[in-house]
Amino acid sequence: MSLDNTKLLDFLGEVDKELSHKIVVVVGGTAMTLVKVKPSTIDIDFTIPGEFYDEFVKVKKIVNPGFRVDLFHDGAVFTTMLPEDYLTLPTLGVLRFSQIYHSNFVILNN
Amino acid sequence: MYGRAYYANIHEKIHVLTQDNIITLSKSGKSSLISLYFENYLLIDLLAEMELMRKQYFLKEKQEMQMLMMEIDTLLYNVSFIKSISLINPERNAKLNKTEIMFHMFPNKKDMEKTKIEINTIMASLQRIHNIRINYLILDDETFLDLLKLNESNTVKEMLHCKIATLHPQSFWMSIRGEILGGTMIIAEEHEIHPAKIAEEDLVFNLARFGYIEFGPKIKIGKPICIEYIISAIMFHNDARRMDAIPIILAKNKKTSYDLLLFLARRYNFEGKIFGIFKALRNLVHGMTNIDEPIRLLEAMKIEEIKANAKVMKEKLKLYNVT
Repeated sequence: MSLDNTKLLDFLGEVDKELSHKIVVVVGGTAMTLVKVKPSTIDIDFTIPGEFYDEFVKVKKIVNPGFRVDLFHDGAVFTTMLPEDYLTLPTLGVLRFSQIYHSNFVILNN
Repeated sequence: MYGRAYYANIHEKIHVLTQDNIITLSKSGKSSLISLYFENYLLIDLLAEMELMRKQYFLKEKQEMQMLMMEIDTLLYNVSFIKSISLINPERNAKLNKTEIMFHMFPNKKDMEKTKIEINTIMASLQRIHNIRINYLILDDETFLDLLKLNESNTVKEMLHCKIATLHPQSFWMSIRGEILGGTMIIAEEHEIHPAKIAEEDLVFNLARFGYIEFGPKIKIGKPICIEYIISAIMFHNDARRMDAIPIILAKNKKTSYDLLLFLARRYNFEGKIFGIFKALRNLVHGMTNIDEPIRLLEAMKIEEIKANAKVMKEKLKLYNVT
């Protein structure tokens, strides 16, 4: 199952409805699909600040998507760590993009 | 069908539909309550037409979903006892790469289990081929109508407003018509309950209603919610103390719909745990024959059992006067 930009936005829309406050998440190759650098992705990766991690796990269980979603802590994406100031990097609308780390930042619940 | 949803347009359309004997208006204070007028023979055809229009609208430009639906219709067309097939909340589920289907069956207790296993095999195969999560609810006509009539929130009442009857929609509405003409009032629930969001006081109230009273929390009258949702809520929170309540309320409530419970177990991923509870319960409580079929269905689905602690369960069942 591959997810294109529309399907990703649909999924993020459903996640967004369940979040109670602003949470910054990072998506890996998924984010490139969101900004249409890649046509599609197979799974979804988020990295979530520690304080919001448990809430996000609960939201993931509530939304319960029919595809794979991987969650990482505090700027980690698999074995790579994002720079410490990753939450303050410039934004592109609601999407932030960093080619160095092949990662984007999506801010939900603005 | 009614143009743009401005108040004036809707008001005008309501009066046209009333004149055409499609709906009836009854006064309740300053408000008007709208009901479908099932005495009108043509109403069923109009409702079926609406279902098919919604089906067309939903499937338009969804090629993958069209392929799946075509296979479902083809493979299940000849399966015995299917009265109608409906998609539950199709728009939202499609966004999440899921589909939820309700199989509404003609009553036939004798061969129903065989049909359920047949549907399960077909669904498992389609899930693999189409890479989509498929969850399904199989309900015989009697259980379907019983759930619609109950004065408590349940999945069937919730699905009425967000389902699309994709196969044999006339049969779907004929069942409801029969019940309404017999004098029953059916009220659809507008909002879906998620087990994770059931308020603590509603949980305590409903557990007490089903025969499990806890020491401590004060019981206040709350919103009546079906036993199947209450079990799902306990499973979702995974609270070890509350888990003890599940076998007790199952043993005390013979009217539990195990078909609905299995559907929710698939939806919220607790099939293994409920399987373990069913098996322990069968050994501990004499005469619980109603869990034999769900056990056989879970076995047929090759669900891996998560064993329940039978010793603790036995003590709790005794404490609550079940054994």
